[in-house]
Parts: sequence; C-alpha cells; structure tokens
Amino acid sequence: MKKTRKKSQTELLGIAIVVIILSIGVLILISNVMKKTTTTEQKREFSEKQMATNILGAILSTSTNFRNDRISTLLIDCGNCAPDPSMRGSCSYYEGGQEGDIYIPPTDVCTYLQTIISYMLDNTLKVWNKKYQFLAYISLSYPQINITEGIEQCMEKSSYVQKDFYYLPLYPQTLTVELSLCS
Amino acid sequence: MKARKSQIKIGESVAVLMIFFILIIMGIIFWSRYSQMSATQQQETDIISKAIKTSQTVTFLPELQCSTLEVIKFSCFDLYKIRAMQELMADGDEMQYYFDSFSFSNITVYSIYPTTESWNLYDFTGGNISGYVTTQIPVAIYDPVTMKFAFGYVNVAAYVKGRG
Amino acid sequence: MMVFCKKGKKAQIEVQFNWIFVLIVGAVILVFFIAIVNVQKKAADKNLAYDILGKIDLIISGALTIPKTGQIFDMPRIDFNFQCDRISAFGVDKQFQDRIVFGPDLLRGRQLIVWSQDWNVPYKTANFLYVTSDNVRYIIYYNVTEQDANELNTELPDNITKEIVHANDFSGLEDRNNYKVRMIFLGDAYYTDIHNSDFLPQFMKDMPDSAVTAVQFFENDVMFYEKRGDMLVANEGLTVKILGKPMKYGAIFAEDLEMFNCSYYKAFKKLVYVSRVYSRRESALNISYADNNDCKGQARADTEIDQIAEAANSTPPDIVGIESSEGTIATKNNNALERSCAPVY
Repeated sequence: MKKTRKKSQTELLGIAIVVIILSIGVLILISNVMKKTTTTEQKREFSEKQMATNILGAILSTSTNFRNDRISTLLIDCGNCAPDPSMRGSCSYYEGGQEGDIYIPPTDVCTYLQTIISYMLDNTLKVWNKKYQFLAYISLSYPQINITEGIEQCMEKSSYVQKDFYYLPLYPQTLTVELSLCS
Repeated sequence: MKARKSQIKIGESVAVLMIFFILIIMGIIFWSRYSQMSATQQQETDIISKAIKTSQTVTFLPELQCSTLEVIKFSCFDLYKIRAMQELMADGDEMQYYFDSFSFSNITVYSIYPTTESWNLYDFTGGNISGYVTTQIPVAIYDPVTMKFAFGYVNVAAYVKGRG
Repeated sequence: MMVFCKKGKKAQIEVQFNWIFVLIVGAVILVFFIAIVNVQKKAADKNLAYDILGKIDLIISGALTIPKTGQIFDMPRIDFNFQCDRISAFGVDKQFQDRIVFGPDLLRGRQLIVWSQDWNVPYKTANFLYVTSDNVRYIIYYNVTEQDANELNTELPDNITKEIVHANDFSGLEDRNNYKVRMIFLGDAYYTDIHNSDFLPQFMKDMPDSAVTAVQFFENDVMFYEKRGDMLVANEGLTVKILGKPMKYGAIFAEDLEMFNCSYYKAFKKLVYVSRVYSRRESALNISYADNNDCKGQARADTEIDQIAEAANSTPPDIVGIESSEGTIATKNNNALERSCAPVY
C-alpha cells in the first residue's frame, strides 16, 4: 500500500512539473507577441502624430494669390464669416483666377480656402491612403471649413485617430484649426 | 522471468527517454521557425525605422532648412538651398559624403501648391534592390526672393537590399 | 545457500547498474539543458544590447534635432563603450555615421545625460551632441578668476555632476566613488603646478590612469592632459585651436585628444559641405537679383563663404581665416536684412 502511494505521488509530481514547464513556455510566447505589437503600434502612432503637426504647419504657412496673404491670415478672415455659405455676403471676396495649376472661380474667402486646402490634402494625404478631417471653427457644431475624407471609419476606434490643433486669434474669440488623421 | 522483467523495464526507460528527446527536438524546431519569422518581421520594422530616421535627418539638415539669422523655421525648406543641393549632388564627392546620412535611399522634394515641381536630391541604390519603404514629410518651401511659401513634401524611399 | 548467495550478488549489481544508468542519463539531460540555456542567454544579451543601443540611437537623433536641451535618461546597469563614430555594448555596436558626438570612452552609471548645442559659423552648420553619465565627475579648477569658472559652471547643464574648486582647496577634495574624473583648467592655472607629482589628491592618484583626465583652455586653444602614475601629463604638449563655445564644450566632454580630434574634423568637414550649399545659393540669388543692385554685391557673400569652405578644408583648419570671413558675412547679412533682401543666413 505504501509503495503504491509513493508511486502515485511521484507520478503526480511529474505531471505538475510538465504543466509548469508548459505554462512558462506559453507565457514567454505571449509576452513576445504582445511586445512586438506594442512597439509597431507606437511607431505608427508617433509617425502619424508628427505628420499631422507637419502638414498643418505647412498648410498654414503657405502663401496664396489672394491679396498675397498666407492661409493663416485668410483663415482669420474666414473666421469672421458666417458658417453658412449663403450668408457670407460681407466676407472677403476672391475675384477668381489661376492659382498655380488650378483655377478658382470668384467666391468668398472660406470657399476659396476650402478649395485650396482640399487640393493640397487630396494630393498628399489622400494619395498616401490616409483618412483625414480638416476643420476650421469657432464653434465645433458650425465649422467654417470642413474637409472630410473617410475619417468616419476611424472615429469608431478613437484611439487610432491622431489630431493636431492650431489656434488663431479672432478677438474676442479664437478660431480653432484642427486636423485629424488616421491610416 | 526476472531477467525478462528487468529487460522490459530498461526498454521502457529507454523508450521514455527517446520520446522525451524527440519532444525537445520538435520544440527546438518550432522555436527556430518562430524566431526566423520574427527575424523577418524585425527586418521589416528596421527598414521602416531606417526610413523614418532618414526622413528626420533630411528635415533637420541645415543645408535645406529655412533660417533667419540663427532662428530655424521648422518644417520649412529654402527653395534656393534645395536647388543648390540638387546641383551639388550631381557631383560624386557630395554623394559619397551624404551616403553616411542617407545610405541606400531616394530623397525627392515635391512642390504641390501653387505649382507642381520636384527636385531629386539624392538617389543611391547600390544595385540589387528588392523593394523600398517610403515615408513622406510635408514641408513649406520658402522662396527668399519673392518671400512666399509653397506647400510640398519630402519623399524618402529607403531601399531594401535584395539577396545575393 | 549457494543459490541464495548468487541471487544476492545479482541484486546488488543490478541496483548499482541502475544508479549508474540514472546518473549518466541525468548528466546528459542536464548538460543538454545547460547548453540550450547558455545559447539563449547569449542571444538574449545581444538582443538586449541591440534594443538598448537602438533606443540610445533614437535619443541621440532626437536630441540633435532640438538643440540647447539637456536631457536625462535612466540607464540599464551595463557598460557602454563610446568612440567617436560608434557606441557599443555586449559586442553589438551602433554607428553615429555623420553625427558629431563628444563623450567619455566608457559610460557607466544610473543616468545617461545628453546635451546638444548649435554650431553656427556664422550660419547654422551642425548640432553637437554631448553624452555623459551622472557618475562622471567634472571639476572646474580656477586659480585667480572665479568669474570665468562661474560662467562656465552656469553654461554647463545642471544635471551633470560638476563643481568649482579653487586651487587652494584642490588637494582637500574627497573621493565620491566616481568611476571617472574630468578636470577643467582655465587659462589661469599654471602648467608647472599641474605637471607635478604632488598636484593630484591622493584618491585620484589611486584611481586607474584612464579614469582621470583633464583639459586646459587658453583663449581659443585647448590642451588635453592624461594621468600617468601620480601625475598629469599634457598630451604631447599639443594645443588645438577651437572655434566657438560648442567646440569648447566638446573638448570638456571628449575623453581625450584623439576622440576630440575625430569629432573636430567631422565638424569641419560638415562646414565644408554646408558652405558649398550656401555659396551656390548666394550665386543663384545674385542672378535672381540681377536688376536689383541693393540685393546683390554688398548683400551677397559667396566669395566669403567660399573662403570659409577652403579654410575649413585645410589641415589643420584655418580658424583665423574662418573667423575673418565670418565677420564679413555677418555684415553682409545685416545689409541684406536692412534692405529687405534675402538674407545670407
């Protein structure tokens, strides 16, 4: 009886050792896989955050033929316009003309900017298969400029959307320029 | 009878050991296959890192950046510096010097608005490439004569060397 | 009785044979697993070194893009070997390529400290990066002028282990268990005092020769010292001409003359290539401003920039020539700015 008990105890110990070794192996495997995912994900998020910052900075610095002003100055003008295009009678007005490779008909400053900025984003972010949204607003519910390209798909998974903001002075308010980006 | 019993027992022990070693060897084969896969993935990540690093280097080159006195404007290239760099790169000496920074890659600056134009600053494949990874960094391109900014981007393609 | 004896002996032999068999098999299994663990450990060490060096590489790249910053990073407990063009650990190394980095030959401690400065000649030419550890002790030694010592102390980053010591208090310095000590002598320290077997405090004499080094600054020249036995000896008595404060800081952080020279010549090589771009730019601007007399001629500096490139390309670099051209370029730059023309830099 004693011999049988000892035998079964030894067998149980053997099984326990095998289970422990297997558990350690699986743990190492899982930790390796998790680590790689995190590193790749962090790199992608950093790159997109930087791209959002760079592209917004570059857009705002760009000069136009509209009074030879930069886009940042024209955005301030646009901020003083009504969000509704039909109520922009008192806005700065573009007489129409050739803007480099594109022709823009006579229009108000906000629509002018919408055309120019759409052109820039179409030839960069869209070509690079990025989804984006460019907004210029005093109140988020009524943006003066809204350029959207596929961003709805990313909005559901809000952690994957990278945003950058610029604030332009519009006394007494502030015009917020926002670019959201994701792959 | 007893001799047979002990022979059977030894046979049992040997069989257990054989199976044990077979299991270990199977585990090692599986592990090495997994390592190989992750090494390939690591190589891809390394190429992407290299492309990002090269594009960072290009963006912060004093030879291209806009500056007034010692103040640097970020994400901005001077148009005349771009043209100068392009002309100088045609000289082999410049290409050799910048290989340390740019390695096997292609660096081109594109202007999107108001006009489309491009300047290839650097291109060195070293022969036998199997592909490339690209990164793009948007920049403003400043003309110091007209004092106007254009909108564009830098395209950096890091080449993947082929085998053999 | 005979039968019983035979069976008893058989059983004894069987038991011993069993034990021998178990021992041999056990040893084989143990050796097998130890071998696997050894191989995996070496691979893991290499992976760790590769990972850490990659992170350090990123830190260096990041620090170089944002100058005038001093940053601290926690270091793992491993020794990094540092050379002018690479950093290595566990037999794995990471090249700096064209980046200009100054630092001690061995990095050990809890924190890695990185600091960067713009080098402008007079246009932005390069970023210098200085790398050190919290366990390196920097001693600013002065004899007469405390003001110079205080100024240097203020300029160096706060997070390095630094102190100002007057000549009279130098021998009383105590050991703080640093693995490296670097002394910075300003122009008023006398060579005859330094090159003396009684000069160093006892704890420095007891440290290995490679752990104690020094530099001395005379206006725009720097001289390096190394420890030999109980004395500091000037490195072949050679002085090196430096250009700008960033280069001065480089001399403070570089391990010795050899490592300093390596980064020094890298910097001047960079100056040559940057100058070529600026010179070509100036020529193109001269053509663009063909109808605008205000913005060419006295507002353009292609000749002076070419002179800088030539002076930087000589061995040793002609610092006096560079400084002279720098002054003219700065004047022409101001002319361009006043006339609302494209500046030289």
